[in-house]
Amino acid sequence: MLLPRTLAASLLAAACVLPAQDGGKTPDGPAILDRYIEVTGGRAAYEKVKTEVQHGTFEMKAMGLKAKMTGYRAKDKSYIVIDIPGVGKIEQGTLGDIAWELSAMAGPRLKTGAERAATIREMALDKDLHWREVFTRTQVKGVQTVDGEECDEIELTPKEGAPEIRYYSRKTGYLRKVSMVLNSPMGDIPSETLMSGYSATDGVLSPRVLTTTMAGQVMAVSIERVIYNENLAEKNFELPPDIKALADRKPAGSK
Amino acid sequence: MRVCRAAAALGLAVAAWAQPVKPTPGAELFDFVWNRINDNHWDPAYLESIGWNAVRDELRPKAAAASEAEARAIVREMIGRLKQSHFALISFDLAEILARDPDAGGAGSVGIEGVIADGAAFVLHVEPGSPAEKAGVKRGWEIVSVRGRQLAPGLARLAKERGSRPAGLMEAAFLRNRLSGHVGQAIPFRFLDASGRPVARSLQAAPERGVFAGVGLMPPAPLWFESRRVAPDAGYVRFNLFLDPARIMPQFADAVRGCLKDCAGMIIDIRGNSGGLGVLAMGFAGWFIDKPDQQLGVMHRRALPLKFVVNPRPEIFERKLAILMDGASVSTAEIFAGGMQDLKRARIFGTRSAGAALPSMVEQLPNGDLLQYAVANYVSASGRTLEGTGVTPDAVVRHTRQSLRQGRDLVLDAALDWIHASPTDSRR
Repeated sequence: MLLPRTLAASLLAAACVLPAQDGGKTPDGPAILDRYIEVTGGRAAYEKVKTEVQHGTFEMKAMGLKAKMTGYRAKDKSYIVIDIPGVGKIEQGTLGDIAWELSAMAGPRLKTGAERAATIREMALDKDLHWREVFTRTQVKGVQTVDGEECDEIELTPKEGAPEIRYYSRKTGYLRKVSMVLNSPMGDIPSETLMSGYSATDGVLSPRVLTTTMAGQVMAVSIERVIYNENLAEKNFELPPDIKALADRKPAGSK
Repeated sequence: MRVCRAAAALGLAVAAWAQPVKPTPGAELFDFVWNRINDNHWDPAYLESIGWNAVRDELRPKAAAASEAEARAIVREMIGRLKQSHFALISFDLAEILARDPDAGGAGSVGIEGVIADGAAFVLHVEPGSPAEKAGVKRGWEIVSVRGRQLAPGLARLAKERGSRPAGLMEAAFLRNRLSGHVGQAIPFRFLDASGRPVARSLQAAPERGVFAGVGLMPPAPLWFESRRVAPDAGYVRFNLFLDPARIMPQFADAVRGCLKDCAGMIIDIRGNSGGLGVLAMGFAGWFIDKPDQQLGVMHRRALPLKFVVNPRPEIFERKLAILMDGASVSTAEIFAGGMQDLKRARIFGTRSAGAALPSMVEQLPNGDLLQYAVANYVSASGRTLEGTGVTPDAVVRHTRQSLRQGRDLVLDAALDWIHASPTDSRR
């Protein structure tokens, strides 16, 4: 039941690559977020990215679960699927102002409220570059050590939903950790994601190893391949029939 | 050399000095149980409120000085101080009764599903095409012995243990163990047929029906699903585990869709269902509930509470829904039934469920006893704690010796009567 949220959190982390600064004194929030863009490829490289495909694996070692994961993103739309042996497919997507999830276990659902806003925000292809449109407030909270690395701790407040805390390496400017509370029908679930293994595709660096701890469970996502600007067919983002039926019943964007 | 010997001697002396005093068997048993509960209880604040540490200080010295039998009684007193269900010390002799027959132990089945009525074991279901069906075994036959061993003494011992509570999980485990065997093994059975005449059959165990399903490290278990009409206007679904959603959900969806147009009611038979993935309860419920944000209940663990919220499907079966349940309906089966009952969307028939809605653990103690302890608390939509208490049916229906011998399934009959009583009425 938590897998889609976890996956979303992990993808969020993968995509949530926002900016920062350099040097010894405490920088301000915008400088930290802008620095991230610069150290991971620069604005020009980010602007060239129109579509993204990710292939990777999802694993919960303690439970012996391992699955292939595939994700697609383009402007205003996304789709991600993991197919876990013994559990089945868990799919999640966004299309315009619709955010949805389809689980072999729990069935189809349209996300609403803060959860819907968070999913659309997290899955947006250009949200790192345009963080100013995503977050209304940045506040540097201090300096913390993440995996032995000194990081600036920054709180980001979105237009809708709870703030999240990010930790950017003072040395490299890379995003190393995200702490947030995931809103879901099952409850508000605190999660923490560690990022590492930064690697470049077409001049844009992104973390390839994401380890999320949530409700006492540890989930690891390993991104094995990132492809930018592949010609993605609309079919990749089509709403599954059950989701379409729910969306047709409900006015789009209703909360 | 001399230095080495001296060092060795010193080392041995230190080792001997540092050797801890070995606890007595009573203390060892007490410590094991106290620590397991202390480390795994879902609500540490509750343990503090009942003075769990003080309980240890008071009772441990008594257990340490006691014989094994006395220590067991003291440990049971400690568990009793919790005043919570699903914590139990199962003594070694009872554990032996529950264990698989040493001559069995395989994954083979003869195709008989047993049930206990009036203190005896009877055939409730005979699987189509199974060795039992081919040998002419019928519903309602009393199972007197298996492999030359009478079932009555074991059933009597279990009845004594459970007191006034209805037969449940232990009896189900006992029967399942006795009725199974190695594939290919010829198992001698003695029955009494419907008229009370002795019948002997040798049944060769075949592979259990279904496909093996498991999740992650969970050992695979045979999963089966069946659906049919039990009346021209009543759909019926039965399955043994809430597992392998990719396989079971489409079959369930087909069964529901097949009933959307012309069924006055549907019956979901989860008698003997051993549970599985909790999330599946939400998935099943979504076919019958059209209102959003409905909760089957909340599971409280040490980390955080998790709400079991129903996702309504685009197509909903809105007419009568009956759920058949018994003392061997466990875990996710109880979460599903209890939640649907609380939401007033289903009427439950049969006997009280096992009250094992949680990931409670059963662990073998150093002395061979078994300890059962719950690690979470599940509260249904109406605020009922399911653990230990189970789900009480809206209509309590028990098998009787007579009804079984007549080949009747009184629980199914009661559900059908209810559906047909006012078929256009969708209310419980």
